[in-house]
Amino acid sequence: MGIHLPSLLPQMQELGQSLYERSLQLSKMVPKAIEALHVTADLDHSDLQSRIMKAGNRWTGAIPTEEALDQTFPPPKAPQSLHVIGADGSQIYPDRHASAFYYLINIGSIVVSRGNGETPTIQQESRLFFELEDLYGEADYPIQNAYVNLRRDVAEMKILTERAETLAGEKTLAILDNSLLLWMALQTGGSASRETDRYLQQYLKLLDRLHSSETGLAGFIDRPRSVSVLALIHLAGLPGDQITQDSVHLTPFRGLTDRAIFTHLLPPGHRSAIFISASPLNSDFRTAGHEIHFFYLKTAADDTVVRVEIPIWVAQDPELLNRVHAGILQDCQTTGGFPYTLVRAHELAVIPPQERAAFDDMLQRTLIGHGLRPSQSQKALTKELTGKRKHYRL
Amino acid sequence: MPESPMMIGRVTRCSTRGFVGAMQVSVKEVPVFGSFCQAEAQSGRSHVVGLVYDISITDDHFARQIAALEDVPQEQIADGQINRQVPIEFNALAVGFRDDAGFHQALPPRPPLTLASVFSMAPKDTVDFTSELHFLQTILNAPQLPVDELLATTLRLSAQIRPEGERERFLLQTGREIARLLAQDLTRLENILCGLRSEG
Amino acid sequence: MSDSSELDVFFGSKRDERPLGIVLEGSLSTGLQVKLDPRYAIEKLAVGRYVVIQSRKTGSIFFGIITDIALGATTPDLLHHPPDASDPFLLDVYSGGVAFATLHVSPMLMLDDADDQPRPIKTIPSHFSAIYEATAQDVARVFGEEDEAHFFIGAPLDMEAVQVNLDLERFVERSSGVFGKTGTGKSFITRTILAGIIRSGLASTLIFDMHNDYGWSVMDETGREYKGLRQLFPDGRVSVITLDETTSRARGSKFDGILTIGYEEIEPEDMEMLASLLGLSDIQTGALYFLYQRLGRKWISKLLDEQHEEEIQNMLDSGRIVGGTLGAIRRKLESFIPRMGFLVPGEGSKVVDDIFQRLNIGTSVVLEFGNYGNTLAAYVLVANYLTRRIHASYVHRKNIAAGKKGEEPRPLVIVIEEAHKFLDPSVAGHTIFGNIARELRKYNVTLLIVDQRPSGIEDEVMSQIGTRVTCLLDNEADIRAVFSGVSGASTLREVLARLDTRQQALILGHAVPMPVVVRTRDYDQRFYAAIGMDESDDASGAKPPAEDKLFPD
Repeated sequence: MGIHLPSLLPQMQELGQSLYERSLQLSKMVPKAIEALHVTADLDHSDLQSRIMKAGNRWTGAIPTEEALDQTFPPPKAPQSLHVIGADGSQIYPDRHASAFYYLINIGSIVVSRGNGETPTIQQESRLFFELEDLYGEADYPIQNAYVNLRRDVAEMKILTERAETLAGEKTLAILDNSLLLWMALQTGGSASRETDRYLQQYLKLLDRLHSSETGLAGFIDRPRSVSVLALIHLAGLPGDQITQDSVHLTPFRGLTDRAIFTHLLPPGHRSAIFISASPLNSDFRTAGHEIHFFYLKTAADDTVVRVEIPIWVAQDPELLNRVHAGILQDCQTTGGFPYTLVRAHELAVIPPQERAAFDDMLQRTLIGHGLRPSQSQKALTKELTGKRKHYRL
Repeated sequence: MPESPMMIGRVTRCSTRGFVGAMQVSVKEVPVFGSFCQAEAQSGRSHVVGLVYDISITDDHFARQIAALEDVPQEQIADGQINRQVPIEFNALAVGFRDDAGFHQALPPRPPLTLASVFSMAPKDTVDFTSELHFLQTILNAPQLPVDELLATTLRLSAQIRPEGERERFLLQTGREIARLLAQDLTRLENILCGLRSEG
Repeated sequence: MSDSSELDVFFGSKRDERPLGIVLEGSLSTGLQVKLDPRYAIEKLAVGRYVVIQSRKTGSIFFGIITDIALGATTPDLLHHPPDASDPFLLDVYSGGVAFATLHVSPMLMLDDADDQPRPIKTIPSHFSAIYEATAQDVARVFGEEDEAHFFIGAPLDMEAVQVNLDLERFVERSSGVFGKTGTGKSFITRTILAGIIRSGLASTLIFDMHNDYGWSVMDETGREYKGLRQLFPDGRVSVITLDETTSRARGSKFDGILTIGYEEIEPEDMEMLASLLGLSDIQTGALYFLYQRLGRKWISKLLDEQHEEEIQNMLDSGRIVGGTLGAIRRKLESFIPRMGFLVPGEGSKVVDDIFQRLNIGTSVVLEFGNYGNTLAAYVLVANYLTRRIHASYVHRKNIAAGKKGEEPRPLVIVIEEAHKFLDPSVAGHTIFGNIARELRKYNVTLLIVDQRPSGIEDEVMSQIGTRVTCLLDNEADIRAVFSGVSGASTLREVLARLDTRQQALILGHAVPMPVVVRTRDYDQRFYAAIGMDESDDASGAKPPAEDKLFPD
């Protein structure tokens, strides 16, 4: 027996009511926010910079670049031929209830060479981690899932880099289904930070290689919930003397997202102005010469707005920037606002439950073959027994 | 037909009369209608011999989506046709089994294990298995299958993997056996015999 | 498979070749149905050929003859949905399975392990027994070797090297018949058989030669000339007696005597056979006996010439015979008897004893009719006349021998043509020929009848015909008649109906171990040489027998 429906029914009613009221409120807010954006765009550049300084180093709003804040940029002409590389990863987390203690990282990648009609090349890499240093790191206790995610992210970037390097000299666009910032680096702490740092450094070196091979690198964030531009607008609207570390957070635009504004603002195919991410992580990137910038992009006629992250060396290179802008748009044409290469990379990475089950089965047999007796925990067994069975009739 | 046995799926449902296998396979690996396959049973002590009679590509929303569009870039079409792993499901009719003593053309004593690997049958084994023809009766008696097409296709494929000098004799032998089983329905017999001969 | 050494010796080496087919169905009375192995072309088989069946269970060998060939199918649907004839694969698949050929086989002889001689069958082989084509060796073993008592008559179909030999002893032991429609060469075959009998010396023959086919210099329809029996046996064991001296001379025929019959030798019984031919009614026929009784031995003369009117008138007055009847009789006798030159007033040449003597020493006698052969009444009269008397002599002789006071008379075969005239149901009851046929060989006399209408012969007589040599017949009634009284022979119908029009005959009955279709041996130089007549021993140089001094060449 699962949830208690009778007590939930009235709560659901409240939820519906609340969402409705909120959407009314938010829709009233959007024009105000756009108006505020225009005002912010008119502000003096140095004025904005001083406000940002006053906001302190815990402020995570968007930092403007040279581009006018409310400007939209039309799609450039798509290049004749372009190699689009997509990579995505999936994993099996370590499970102390399973028959063995291990984790698996699976990376799928695809290269679509636009313009020559040839069959895209696909690749899958699967790696099993079971040695003690993989399972424990430098700690006394086993690693957490966040650590697996970190290794996965680095692996995705590694594959992207390797594939891009095979195409050195050609126009390439490499897309990641993720932020370019290594988020996990934020979340791990303590004794793990040394390892985290090691991975961060590996990652940054990969970005170096991508820079050298003149690849148009982008991170693609679907349905972004970021509010960093709204934070900037709010900051711009505060009276200079009321800027405190607290006041910068109490935005009147709470509940709204950047996406909501740009859905109104951007015509299809247009991008917004480029901003710089104010995440604390960006400082390491900045030092390494890979400060992460971003812009919003409307990919399809049905108001789909996405966030695209790019390193500084893409933002400041018009050719690379245009390549990223036009290339992503082109890649999204048949797949309703999401890049084809990422759909495929995801397909290649994901492990379907059947294969998962088969993998477990094979693993069990291998262990038995080595004279081990894999035991499943009671919890795991219980889960199995309560699953459904289907009778087969020919 | 591939020269060496290839894994074409895992058993998802089964009985002693047949089994269903599924897998994500690349287009090259999709099993062929009328081909033989083997699935492990009794913890590896025997293998059930199955005859593939239905193959379907399941739940491929992505391909459906792309297919609905008018202007699809050639690279994406090629990607879909050649690269993509398609989730397939196939049905196989149990026509015999294999144990230490060799092949037997009778209903297998036990069905294959769930999630047992299903392998396509190597040409040498297919020749060996089809040297006896009792399984023709099993096919003819199976309900709700495309019996006539299956019979013709299976035997045609089994003839093609034989050395050239033996094909005629095999076709004649199987043709006569089918004629014996279907002597009362000449129209049907003639259709199947024509199917035996036509190039697939 | 039984212990095979004796079988191998009898039937030749083992059969490794694939069988023709297997036995599927059948009975002792109707024969066996065999499904032909699809490897064999049905066109290569024929009715009349021999097959050997090896019993699956006991290994016994059956010897049989193919009597019918048919095509069958597992379903009548095949007629409505035949396979596409331009597709050889389809045709190959259907042949032997859906569409197949069957043979009908009549098994005739059986060889058990314990026997060394084939015996008539009393059982049939079991299901799925294998059938093989008989080899020349197989056939030869059944039909034996030629020797004094076995005469080579011809070869089985498609087996030119094999000799079919008639068992002559058995042939003459019973009455026999040669049948076939006109033009099938009955007289050639009869002559061949007679040559064999004469050479063997197993019996004497008395041949009533209606159309000059037997005695001297025979012509066929193309004008080709063949040797008659007299020419084949120039050493005198064949005599020719002629009725028509003029014609015989004209033909250049050598003859050894002339037959005349005196009026005083004719008895009413002799005339009675002619009743229907002369148009005599029953009353008139009955009156003949009265006339003979009243007028005595010279009754014919008295009736024919005008010199005995008084006696005749007395007879009339007695009231025992009506004038009209007498008149009719006289008229009919007058229209017939004077035309027959061999009928002479008085006693005639007393030839019966002469003929009897010749026959008794082993000489065969051919009675040449010359032109009189065209008159059926003459033929019937003479044949009847002679046969009655010869037969009477034989009876007398036989009875003496039974009393151990003399020797048995030599076996005799009397050859008559147009036999249905002598043996049809209305007369067979009281003719001498009917009697001879029915009495089997009580008095050492049998018949050899040559006829194209066996259906005209009375059934009871027909059933006494031991050996039947049949050329092509196409009349249903005739075919039935030939097979009457022979068990299982109706399966041979198809065989009979498929004979060639010339020189092929089906022989069945007493003188052969089993029915056989032969291509009769050629009647030519090789035959003459085989019979023992040298080419140089022609008519011109033959040594005349003692009696024949009257007519130099």
